[in-house]
Amino acid sequence: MGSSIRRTDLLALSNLRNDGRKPGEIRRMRVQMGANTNTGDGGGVGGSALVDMGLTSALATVRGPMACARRSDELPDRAMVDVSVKAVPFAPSGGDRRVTNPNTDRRLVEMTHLLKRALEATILLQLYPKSRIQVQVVILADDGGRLSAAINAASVALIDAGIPVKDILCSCSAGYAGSGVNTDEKTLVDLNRQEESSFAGQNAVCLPCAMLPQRGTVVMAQCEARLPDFDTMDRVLGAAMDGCRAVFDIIQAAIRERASILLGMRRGHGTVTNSFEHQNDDMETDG
Amino acid sequence: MSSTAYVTIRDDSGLASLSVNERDFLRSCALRGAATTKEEDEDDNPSKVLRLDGRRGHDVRTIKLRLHRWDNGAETTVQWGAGTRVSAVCSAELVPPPSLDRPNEGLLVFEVDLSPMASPGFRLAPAVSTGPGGGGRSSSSSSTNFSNQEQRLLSNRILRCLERIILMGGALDTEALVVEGGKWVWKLTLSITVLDAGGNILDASVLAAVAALRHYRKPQISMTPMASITTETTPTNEYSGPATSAVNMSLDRTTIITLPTLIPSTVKEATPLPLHHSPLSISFGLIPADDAVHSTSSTSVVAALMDPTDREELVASGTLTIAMNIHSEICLLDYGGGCELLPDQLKKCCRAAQGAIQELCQLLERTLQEADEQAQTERLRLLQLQQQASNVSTATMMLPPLPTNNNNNNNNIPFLQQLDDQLDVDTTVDDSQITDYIQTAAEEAYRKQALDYSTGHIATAVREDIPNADRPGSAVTTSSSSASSSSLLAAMLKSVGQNQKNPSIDATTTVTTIDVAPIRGNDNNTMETTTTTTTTITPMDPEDTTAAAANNKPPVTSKSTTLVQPKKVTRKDAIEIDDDDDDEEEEETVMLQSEFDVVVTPKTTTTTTSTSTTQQQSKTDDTMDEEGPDIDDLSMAIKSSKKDKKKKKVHKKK
Repeated sequence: MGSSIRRTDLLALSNLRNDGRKPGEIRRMRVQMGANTNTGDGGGVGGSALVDMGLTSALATVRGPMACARRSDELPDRAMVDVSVKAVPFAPSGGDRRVTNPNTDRRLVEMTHLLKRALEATILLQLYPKSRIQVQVVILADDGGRLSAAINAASVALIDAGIPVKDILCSCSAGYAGSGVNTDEKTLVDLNRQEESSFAGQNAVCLPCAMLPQRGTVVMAQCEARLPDFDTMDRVLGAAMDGCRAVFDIIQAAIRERASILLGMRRGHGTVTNSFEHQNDDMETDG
Repeated sequence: MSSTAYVTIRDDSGLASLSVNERDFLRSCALRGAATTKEEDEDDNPSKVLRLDGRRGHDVRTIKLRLHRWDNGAETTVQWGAGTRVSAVCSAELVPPPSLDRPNEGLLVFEVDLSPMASPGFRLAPAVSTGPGGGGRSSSSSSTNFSNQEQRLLSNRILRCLERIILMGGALDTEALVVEGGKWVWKLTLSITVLDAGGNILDASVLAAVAALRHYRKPQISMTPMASITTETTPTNEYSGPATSAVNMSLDRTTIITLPTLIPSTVKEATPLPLHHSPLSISFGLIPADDAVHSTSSTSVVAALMDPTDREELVASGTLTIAMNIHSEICLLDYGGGCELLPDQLKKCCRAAQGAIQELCQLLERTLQEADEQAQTERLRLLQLQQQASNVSTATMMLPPLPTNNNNNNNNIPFLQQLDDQLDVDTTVDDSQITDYIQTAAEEAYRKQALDYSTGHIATAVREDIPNADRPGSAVTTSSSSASSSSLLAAMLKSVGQNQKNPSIDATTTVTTIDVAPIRGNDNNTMETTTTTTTTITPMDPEDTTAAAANNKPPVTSKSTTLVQPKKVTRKDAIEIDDDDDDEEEEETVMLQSEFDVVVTPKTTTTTTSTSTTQQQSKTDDTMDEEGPDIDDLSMAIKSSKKDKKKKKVHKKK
């Protein structure tokens, strides 16, 4: 492991992270809307999205608004959001493949809960009383930041499904490395798996957060490690919000592209097929 | 903390749903302060809010904390306000390291149990745990009811918050739980049971968990080398059970397997867990203003209610939980969405939480200190008990050892005396010899105890020539029970010897005998066997039946099955001296008997068991008549003396 030490030293000297990013830079992000074409058939009009953040990849599918499966579930004045998050067994990268039951894995259940709450804050639920909006997210690859990727995917899928939302929900994580070659602390944006795990023992922090960028409000924030004081928390939260804004730019661009394609198809330009590869060429945007 | 809080009547009828009126009312309460002053300093807002139980916006309910500790365990009960109660139990065991890729880490397993006992809205579900067995529910979870999923989410949230606060927040380092790297590690289990869910069970659970971890003392270990095993070329794995597993993987080597055993805390003092700091959490219920919920206009008005009750939780759109320790380091920030917050509002909530958590931490420290002192005094008392048991055992009457399952000292049975000496049986013993022996033994014991300053010089009962009212009292308190019993014994013998004693005194002594026996007979039913042996072994003359009677006392007997023989001798003496009344009194007391004793009592008035025994005895009496006057049995001895009495009695009655 001698070479990697030297490489990280080199990177640290030039103030770069272990994958060559600057501290305030997010990973390369790709957004594909309409990735899953089955949603049109199932329970009504639906939407889907595939979001890649670096090597982390999440696929979200949205169906609804539709009738509740059980009458006891429905709320009288608003819609109910039914979320499920799963991770495929080959998702974790590296050698850390522990076989966990996706139904009962604590972290996935927690992720489900957080996603549900975040979406409840975003969607205009009052427009569809007694109905259900079903969101399913599958994590295809996990290289750190899977919660953010799941939230971004769900948000884009919602827009693809045409469900009215207050704002585009964006999520990004931020961290803070206490130790480093430079003595001043750096706040890092969009941590990958290595950074997340290596910070566990040290005086470092990982804070995924979700916000509605245009309104400027935070919808979800989670921090696990020890923050020495409020100033650090402010700083990390601020960095996370900047990351969210960067994500928002990418998502917005992707939505515009998709909208233009759809409009073009309506007018007769472009092909009718909705295939994956076709979208790959059109929708690829760099972060 | 609030000073004017009062208890609202808890209404569990509308569990998962609120009526529109109630919801509007609660929202208006919460937003009252927030709506009026938008531009002023928002710190005033929380004080304008008036909640259902009289609290202000940022007041926490009053909390009571009760701690309890025993050998290898600690338990905490948190009463959080009027409606929420959570109990946490912490215990540990030694296991081989759970995963091969982490040989130097211990295990900390959390378990959360939400049951219908806490709230009628909860359904019966197995406890969720972070251990290897827990969480592995079948995949029927997708078809469960919605309410069950809510409950699952809630218990999962509590579990995850606990895990993050304590494990990932750095409060407890699992690497410090290693006993022998790669071989034995501690597995700490922290079970949280929600007894009453009246809102904000997350904070109560965290407080209970941290208090239990702080209060728990880890026992010391002694590594006892077991057999050494030489193996062949093939590696063998011997797994014979959780506590005695010996994993032996060696090729052609001699391996010494050591099994650790836990030392009880009375032998070696247990040590506290290596907790770096004690994080505690506080939660807010977030209620946004109406326009934020129903329209798309951006609004900054959000009311944050600290420590929401269950009704407020139903109204709140979101929850914000912050965990900090006493050094104001943020250990956890869990903002689960549900409503929007400006970053400023988030920061304000954090600052408000800081003050509340400081108070919580102080409460925790105070309670921990008091409980610790109490536990220390308990431990000292146990040590003293043991000291006396070991001191006295060498000098008193030799009694058979009490059967114990293990060789540990009896720290489970409170009033039990364990005497190590065997009872010597000599069939041809002289009465006076025994009396003398008993007396000298009692004196020896007393002297030894009185002069033994190492045990802190417990004041033993003052010896008097006349047996007395004191003795039974001291016997009951059991601190110097065996000494007192022997001295009581001696005293009784003396009373026997002095025939000039009034029957009244004898009566009182018999009464006290009866009193003592049941008290001491609380504990062990297994003592029954010893009782029988004692009665059969001591072959004494009727005059020394008092000794036998006293013999019956120290072995612990259960009241229903074995009853003490009061002094038959006094009865005998009494009969010689006195009249019918005394005789009848004695007769009454005679009814307390063991089922192996064949003392005849024509009258049974006190206990029903004795009625049955007397019936038995009357039968056996007949059989005994045939056997003749052999005195190899105390009961028989008594019987033989009784025969005359009985005949006399019968004649008298008839």
